Amino acid sequence: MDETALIHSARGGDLDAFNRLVLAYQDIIYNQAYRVLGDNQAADDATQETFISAFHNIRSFRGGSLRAWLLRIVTNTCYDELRRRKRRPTTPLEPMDDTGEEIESPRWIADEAALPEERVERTELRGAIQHCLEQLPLEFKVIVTLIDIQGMDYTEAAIVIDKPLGTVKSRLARARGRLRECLQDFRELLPTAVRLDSED
Amino acid sequence: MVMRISERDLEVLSNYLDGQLTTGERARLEARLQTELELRTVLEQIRQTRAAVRNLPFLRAPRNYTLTPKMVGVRRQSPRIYPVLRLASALASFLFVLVLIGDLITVRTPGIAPLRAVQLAETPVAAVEEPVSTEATLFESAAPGVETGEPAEKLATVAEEPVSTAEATVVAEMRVPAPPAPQELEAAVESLEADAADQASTPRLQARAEVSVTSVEPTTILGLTNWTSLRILEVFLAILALSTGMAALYLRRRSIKSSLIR
Repeated sequence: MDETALIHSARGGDLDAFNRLVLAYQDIIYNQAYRVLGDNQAADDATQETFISAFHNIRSFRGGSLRAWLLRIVTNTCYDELRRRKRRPTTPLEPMDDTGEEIESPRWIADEAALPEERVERTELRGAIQHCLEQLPLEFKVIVTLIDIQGMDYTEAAIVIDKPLGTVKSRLARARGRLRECLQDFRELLPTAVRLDSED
Repeated sequence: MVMRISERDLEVLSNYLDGQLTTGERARLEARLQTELELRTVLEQIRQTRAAVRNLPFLRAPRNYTLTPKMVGVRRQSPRIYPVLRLASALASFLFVLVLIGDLITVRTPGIAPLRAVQLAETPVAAVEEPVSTEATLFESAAPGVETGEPAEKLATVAEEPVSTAEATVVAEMRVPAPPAPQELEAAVESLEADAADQASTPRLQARAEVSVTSVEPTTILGLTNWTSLRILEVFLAILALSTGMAALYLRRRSIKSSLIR
């Protein structure tokens, strides 16, 4: 059954048809939630919440790109989650290990003010990029994730964030600029071309 | 140290990398890149940053996020035919019980069956009465020397036999001798008219009454027909109720089973 038929059935309340759409899009949605929230558990919750919300609102889907529509929902879910965190911060000072013991001197606590030696400990470029992504303002994080991770074009991204194309271009450029600056702190991990400034 | 450029240049570089500039804008930027080392350096940094972000692994969802009816607060959909079957079964059962009760009341209650039979018999009796009396008269007139009460008695005897009025008529016809001559008929009619006042006697009325009562017989045939159609209806309704009920039950169980498997 093709996507249009599945959407049509899902609109009629067919949960099985909707679940087939879930299986097709869950990786994309989870990725978006993880890159924006930077937390497995929060991404898991946001993904589930996104699909529940999508099922309840599938009648409002007017056609077009289902991926864009779902990404819009997950983005809004992430906004809500981050707002909630801001209102009621619940992050523990010390994370727990499997036995419930507090982990001492965790690397996760390192921030921009941390010592260069500690930052160098971030041995993985991926970890460094994720770290830099997390430092971005939410709207920048969302746009860079949509375009550079999800591979959307500008027009689709504009639909997702419900903003004009000019806003997309502007936010993306500024997000890339900030990422560039952030990644200079991890220049040991970066390809030579990115470290040109330090070699001058 | 990170090179600083204006936000406008940053946007132009970002758009240039994504092929979002017009031909004129691109030409202007490429001309600047030929001469401005700083701009070229930043462009390379942004290109590498963009490549690094794009190389991030595409994570797979740690689990399936398929929804259950409980999660979305809906009941699992039964097949569309399920409510139809359920309604059909209920209706058929109700009608079956109704027909069965009606049937039992009609058959078992003393007096109702004969009463119904008599009611049903009224029409045929009215139709039959006249020929019988005529025949009786004919019989009477055709039997010279027989007293007035005799034919009525004979007819009554005939009527007492457990046969239908139609049969009684046939029997009467069989007993009637060959048709009398026209003169004899006229004489008989005159005799009948003359005796009409005197002949309003009890035995004849009794005979008529008995004929009426024994006229139940044709309705027995009708009753038999009614009985058969009633039984057919009952069997049909019972089969319908059972089959639709079983089908609805099967669909229901299958629906529950499939939801448990999930």
